[in-house]
Amino acid sequence: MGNGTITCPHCGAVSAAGAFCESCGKAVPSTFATSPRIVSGDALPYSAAGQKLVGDELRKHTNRAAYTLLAVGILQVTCGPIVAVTLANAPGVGLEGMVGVLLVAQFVVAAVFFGLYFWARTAPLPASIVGLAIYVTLVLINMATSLSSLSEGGPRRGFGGCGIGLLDIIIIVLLAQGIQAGLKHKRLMETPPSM
Amino acid sequence: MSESDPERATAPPPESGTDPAPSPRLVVPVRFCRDCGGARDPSLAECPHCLQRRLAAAQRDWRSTDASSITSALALYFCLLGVSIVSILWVVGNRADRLPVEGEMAASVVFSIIVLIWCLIRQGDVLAGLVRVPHPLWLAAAAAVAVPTFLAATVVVTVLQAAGLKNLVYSTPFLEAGYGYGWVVLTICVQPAIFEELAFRGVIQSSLGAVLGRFEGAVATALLFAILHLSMPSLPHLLLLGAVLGWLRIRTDSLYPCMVTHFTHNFLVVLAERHGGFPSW
Repeated sequence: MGNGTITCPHCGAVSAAGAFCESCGKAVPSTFATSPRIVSGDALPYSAAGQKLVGDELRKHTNRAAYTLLAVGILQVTCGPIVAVTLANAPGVGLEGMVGVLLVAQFVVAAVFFGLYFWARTAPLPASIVGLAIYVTLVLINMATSLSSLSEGGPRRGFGGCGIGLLDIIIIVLLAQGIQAGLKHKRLMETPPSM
Repeated sequence: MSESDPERATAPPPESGTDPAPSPRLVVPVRFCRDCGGARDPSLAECPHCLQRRLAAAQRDWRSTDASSITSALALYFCLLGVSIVSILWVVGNRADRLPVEGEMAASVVFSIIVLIWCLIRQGDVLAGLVRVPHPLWLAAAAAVAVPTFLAATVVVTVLQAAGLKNLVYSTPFLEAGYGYGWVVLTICVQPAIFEELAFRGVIQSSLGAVLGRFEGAVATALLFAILHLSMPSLPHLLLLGAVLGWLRIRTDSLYPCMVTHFTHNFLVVLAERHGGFPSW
């Protein structure tokens, strides 16, 4: 047996060293010493077992983003009325006497996020992208109204009165992680397993 | 593999009186790839399965292409949103009912500049939709499909008016400020038709569609289109309009039908305000 050749235990043929026999196509013992491979964070596995493991892990992240969308919808329904009343009574915001309109707006936003949650159950990536865009839009509008109300002596909301809080940051981070995981999962599914 | 397979070389018979030692077979013509186990033509220099995988991996760095497409789409959306946020800040800060006409025109110019910059950056996404000119019947259909979207908008606004919501007029501020209907059509009909379509159906839908798939990309773009207008009462018919425009983009692979529909929809709004044929808003 020369260097770089292997005898197939299935058919007995001698062929060049590799993972499969060139004569019968069955797996042959590896000629190289094996050890656990360390795969870097961005690399994708090519084995079926590796893809299953990484895919399950990525799926957890995308599910987390879907539940984040559901949580935002629930928050809009439960805490939205309080926010609406606060905004309507806050000086300098220009929303005095618009409690009804604000309440409807809160419930519409909640309905949108509930819809995104159900969309995320089948297609987490687009739902996470749209959810992130909508939520950041709401945060930016809140920041704009908070900064205006701050100059008029209104209530301070969020960090330094800028209108963005810790919960907002957590939600944005979770949605962004969900998008990253969704992209990676999509690419993983497009890579056919080699062995 | 049967014993009578002509491709298998047979071993010489063992000598009498000795244990038959297993003798290695001679090397046979390659029929399976040693790397992936897939069947291959021995006359080919490389396994087609491995070659396909290698070329696909080389052609596309998934991390940069998918992520950059989504980042570009969201960045454009947030830049355009920034224009609206600045307008809101001005209105709230000055306790005004709405932005003055000159402010609206300035915002339109800034919006257009941002979109043009993105079109230069993502030329591939936009040129594909501009190069292709569909059959004239599609342009006529695009104009016709704006009528039901306009009627849907009218129904929504009528319901909201009945609920006591304040009317929102588009052309009256222009006329009161001394600008004629030419400026009204340019600012409310032509500019949004061209630049909003370049932004949404050109850059954003192409970018998202490349990553998410055509249908999901169109739905996501329609949602972003509706949200960007920052008008809760207009959300239902803007969503419908966005969905129709996304479908036109996919169906015709061109931006021109989308521009025609958008222009016609907005023009019908202005026409209704002028002639009072429909409830004004």
